[in-house]
Amino acid sequence: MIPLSFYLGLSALLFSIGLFGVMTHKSGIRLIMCIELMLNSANLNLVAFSSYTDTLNGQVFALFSIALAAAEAAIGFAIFMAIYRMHDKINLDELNLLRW
Amino acid sequence: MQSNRPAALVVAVLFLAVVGLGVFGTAWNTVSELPGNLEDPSNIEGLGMLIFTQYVVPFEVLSIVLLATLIGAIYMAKGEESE
Amino acid sequence: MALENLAFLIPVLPALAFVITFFFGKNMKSGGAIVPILAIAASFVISLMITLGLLANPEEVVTQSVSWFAMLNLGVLIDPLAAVMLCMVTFVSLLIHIYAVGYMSHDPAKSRYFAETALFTAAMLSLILSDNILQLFVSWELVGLCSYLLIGFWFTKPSAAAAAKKAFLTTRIGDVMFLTGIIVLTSDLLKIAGGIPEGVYLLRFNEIFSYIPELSAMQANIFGTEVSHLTIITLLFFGGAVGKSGQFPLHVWLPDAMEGPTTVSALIHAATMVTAGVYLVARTFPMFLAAPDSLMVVAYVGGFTALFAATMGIVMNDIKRVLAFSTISQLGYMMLGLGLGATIGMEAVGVSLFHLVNHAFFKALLFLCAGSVIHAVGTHDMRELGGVAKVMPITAVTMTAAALALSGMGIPGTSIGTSGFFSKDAIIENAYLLGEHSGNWLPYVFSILAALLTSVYIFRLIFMTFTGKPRSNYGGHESPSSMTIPLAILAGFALVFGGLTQTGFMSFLEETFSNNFVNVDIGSLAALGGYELVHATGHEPLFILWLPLIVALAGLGISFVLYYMRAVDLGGIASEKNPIYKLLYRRYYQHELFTEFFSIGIVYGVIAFLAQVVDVIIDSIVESISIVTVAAGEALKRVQTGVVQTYATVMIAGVSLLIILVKLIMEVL
Repeated sequence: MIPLSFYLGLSALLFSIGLFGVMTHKSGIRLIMCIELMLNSANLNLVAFSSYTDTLNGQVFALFSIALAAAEAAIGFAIFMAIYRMHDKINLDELNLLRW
Repeated sequence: MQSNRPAALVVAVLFLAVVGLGVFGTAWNTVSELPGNLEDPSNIEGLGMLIFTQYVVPFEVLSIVLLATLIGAIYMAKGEESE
Repeated sequence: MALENLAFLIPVLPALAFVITFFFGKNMKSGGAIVPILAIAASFVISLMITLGLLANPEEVVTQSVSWFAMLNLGVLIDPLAAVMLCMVTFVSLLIHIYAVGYMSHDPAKSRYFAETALFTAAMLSLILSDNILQLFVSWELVGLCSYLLIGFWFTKPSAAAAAKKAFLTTRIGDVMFLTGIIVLTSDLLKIAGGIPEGVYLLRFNEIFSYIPELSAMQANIFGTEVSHLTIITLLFFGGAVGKSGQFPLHVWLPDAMEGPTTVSALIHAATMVTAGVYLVARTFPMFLAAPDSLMVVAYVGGFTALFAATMGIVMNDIKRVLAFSTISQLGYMMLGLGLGATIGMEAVGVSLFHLVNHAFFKALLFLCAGSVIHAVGTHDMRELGGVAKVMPITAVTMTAAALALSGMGIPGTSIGTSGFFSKDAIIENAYLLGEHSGNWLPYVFSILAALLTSVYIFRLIFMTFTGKPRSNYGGHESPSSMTIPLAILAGFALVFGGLTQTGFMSFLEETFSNNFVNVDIGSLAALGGYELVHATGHEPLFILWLPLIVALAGLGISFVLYYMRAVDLGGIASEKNPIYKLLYRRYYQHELFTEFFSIGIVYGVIAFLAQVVDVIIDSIVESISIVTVAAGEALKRVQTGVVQTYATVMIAGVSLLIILVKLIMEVL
């Protein structure tokens, strides 16, 4: 039987990859894709725990989480569209209005 | 942004190391055997039962959240020029 | 008796009046004066009934007690001592309130005035009837607060604000000593009782008195001399009394307290404030009795104050200041009277309280008369007055009555005489006894000289104000009847109260400690103090009996010659060139000494020096902090790139490092 740790390790790896993407990519679209990756690594965690404790609650949470991820993506893209209309770009390193 | 890449890599690896140590260093309290209903490995029915009984309120709240998101996203994406 | 259950109402009613007048007085007629007047009248009636009950049965002391917490209680104790004080305070305060309706009629802040005087009276009443030392202290502080508010009543006037501050700070020195005394007493009592006993309130007076032998046995080593704890505690209490009762050297606030309305001066000087110190010593008198050194200090300070203040009284030109120094002097007499307990035992309380009550009548009268003059004429300066008797006959007559009472006119050996005669002569004669028995003649000499000066300054005031020709152009009219009726009542009391109650009063007061505190035995207390008591009843030489009257008449004669007949040209003597006059007029330079030398010269110099040092140190600290902060901000603001991903990176790195840090700490632990 595959130990739980392997699932969790995979999840951590996925999360780190997503994290690396979030930290390095300039395009907003790619950023959101990476965030999705991180969210799904969390879902993987939920499902793994659910399986290994013989309860279904975790999987229900995963379903909710997926639905929320959809909502989050929708809002994210809408925000990027608004930004694009204002600045004609969605390159995040050029959007430094929060700068000192 | 290119200069950010090594730093990002370091941070990501650091994070992975921290989480990985946590994951592999913990003795997880799990069932010894995966549940084995080999005739019907699907648990869709169980999930459906849970969502519509125990989790029916979160489910409904989630639907409202999704609706609100839908409206908000459309409003923001549509912009003002199409008035 | 049902009435005795109402005892707690005595301070509560004026306190309620304070609340009502303070919040609703503005919308009432004449500032809501009627509320405190009614409340204090009710308190007076209750006090009087209780006192009459006590007169019949001196053993039936009124006591009420409510547990507060642990070893503390709120309680009422009305024994003869407290009863006499209660009647005096409520009565005098009532008359002053009625008088103030007329006196304050033009003031825009009437309701504040009446609210504060009501609180003042309430605080004093609760001070008098408290049955434990802590409650007494709380009321004591409340009295101090009210005096601050009332002396600074016209707070827009800088001199009034300064006087209020001075009064508050000076009495505060005494208060701190008093509090220290209470703390020492409490810790000693806890040591003796071995913890907090169940159901016994250690700080009640009868409990304290029952522990006097143990307290007396506790010795402390101070600068190489063995001092009994009892002596320390009583001296600290006396320190509080010195501050409150304006004894030397903390008397400096009293003359300046004239900045308030005259009625407030009357209230402070006659009824509510300065007597608190005398009352404190009288209340804790058994403790003093067992500590003879403290009693000697009380006697000497009292005698010296009586003389010292009288010398300054003879050169003041402000009518109210003369009276202020007169009060200090008379309070000195009261303290002297208490200090005589070393010779005459519990009689001292009777003698002193007798003078206190008589003094309250004639001093309130003097102040109210002075207020009447000031109200009508509009000046305080006696040099601008003269011939006022023609304009204000009632005031002139009543004030003369008060002056006779203050100077102590009367015929020894009979019961003919003014109030002041009986009480002051009793003190002077007992001072003679003290000299005879212990060889301490100084208090007697002080008191005789002060009696002479008292007579001089009070008749100087009368002659300068009421006789002769007007020395300036003042209008003036007799005061309204709401002011003259209290004057007349007080004048009656000032003239006859002493003669009527002479014998009954003192024996009544002696009941306080001989009957009501079962644990107190005078003889054994005196034995603790190490002296024998004598009883003074007219065995003194005839000359001693007549001497006070002789000096009083001599003082009258001197004043008559100098200020009525103007037989001697005073211009030469009473000028700044005469060093003695100047010394007295400048009040021994104590103001300069206290304010300029101590405060400005030393304190200010030290403070200025410290301030410079501190300035440099603190400035450099503050400046370096600001420089570091600004520099750090300049450096750290680079972090705020405005790029969200940088923030995310830093945050994740921070979280990771934090987890590692926590893990490391857990490992170490």
